[in-house]
Amino acid sequence: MEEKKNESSKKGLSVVGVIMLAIAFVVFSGALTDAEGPLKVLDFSNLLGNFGSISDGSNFRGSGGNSAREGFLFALTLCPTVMTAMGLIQIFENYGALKAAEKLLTPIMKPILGIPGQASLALVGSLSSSDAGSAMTRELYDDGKITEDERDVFTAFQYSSSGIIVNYFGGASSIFGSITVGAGVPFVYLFIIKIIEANLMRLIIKLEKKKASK
Amino acid sequence: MEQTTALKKETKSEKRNIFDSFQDGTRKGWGIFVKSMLPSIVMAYTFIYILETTGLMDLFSDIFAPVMGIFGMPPISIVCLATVFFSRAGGCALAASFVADGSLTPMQATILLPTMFLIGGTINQWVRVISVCGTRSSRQKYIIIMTWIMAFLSLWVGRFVFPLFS
Repeated sequence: MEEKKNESSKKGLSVVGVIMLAIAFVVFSGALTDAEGPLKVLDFSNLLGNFGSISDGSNFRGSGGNSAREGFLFALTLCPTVMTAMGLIQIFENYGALKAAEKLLTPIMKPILGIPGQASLALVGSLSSSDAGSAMTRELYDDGKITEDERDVFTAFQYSSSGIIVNYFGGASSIFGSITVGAGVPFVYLFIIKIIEANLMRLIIKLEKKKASK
Repeated sequence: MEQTTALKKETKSEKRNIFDSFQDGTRKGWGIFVKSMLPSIVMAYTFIYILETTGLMDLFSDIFAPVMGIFGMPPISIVCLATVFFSRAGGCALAASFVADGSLTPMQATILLPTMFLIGGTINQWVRVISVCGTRSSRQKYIIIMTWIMAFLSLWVGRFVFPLFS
């Protein structure tokens, strides 16, 4: 962990990473859904495209089906959504978007979450995989890098919408075509809830201590 | 500790070109689709067929109408919330199909999405996050209760927030 931390702190904020992070926000925000010209490629729903129609405007799913067979065909219509979402996320990840997020988060973690900046790697890891995040958190605590209270605040942050990137863009992608906002808007909303929950936990711990000291 | 190292490696991205990266991601997406989404959605549709045919759907809707009404949601949304306990993907897919048949409006589905997502991992993530992190047992209940309170408060807050971005 120390080695990784040193390696990470040696590298500055990558320009490519920041650009990729910005593109990721734009693509999933839905801001360019109705854009004209080449800019429209920077939108997730435009990148998904459309199925061709077979007859009467229906796609291969048809109409009037029900139960397992209808579920199977409906699921097939969602397959390109989850594949494209994960493909894009992999590009953003491989080109440093998450590392840029980690760098940008480090100085603000203490004020907004009450957790030291050295937990930023675990925080970013937890966004992609709840298992990675929780294992790293456990290790930070075992190594004495975070206190018990900080660990519990961090747990509250991770538990809410855990593994949010993969779980949200994978598991919730079926509903992206049916909501009124870009897929990125509920994502940011859920992220804000994560921060609120961590701060509520800070408050609970503070009250607990106050009660104990009386 | 070996497992921790392996998990950390997972988060470390390899330098691959843009086309390879996209294909790697789509393969992951295919894995999620086949292993998680497809079974969940087939389960959800079969489940909904059983509920509709036996009349249980109407019964649930009648019972939960007052509760969901408090949050400004139609009674049918309780079926999505119940389904996310088994699978988030299944609950989201059900909500999408309710939008398609007109049982939910797109705005209601938008408001419902964060709530489904928040309560969906209640049991599963308890084991995978809270237990692994080693959170003090007296504090575990707070984390879960907080998430549930936020999930239902979100149904109110979302009514004001999401129209701003529509």
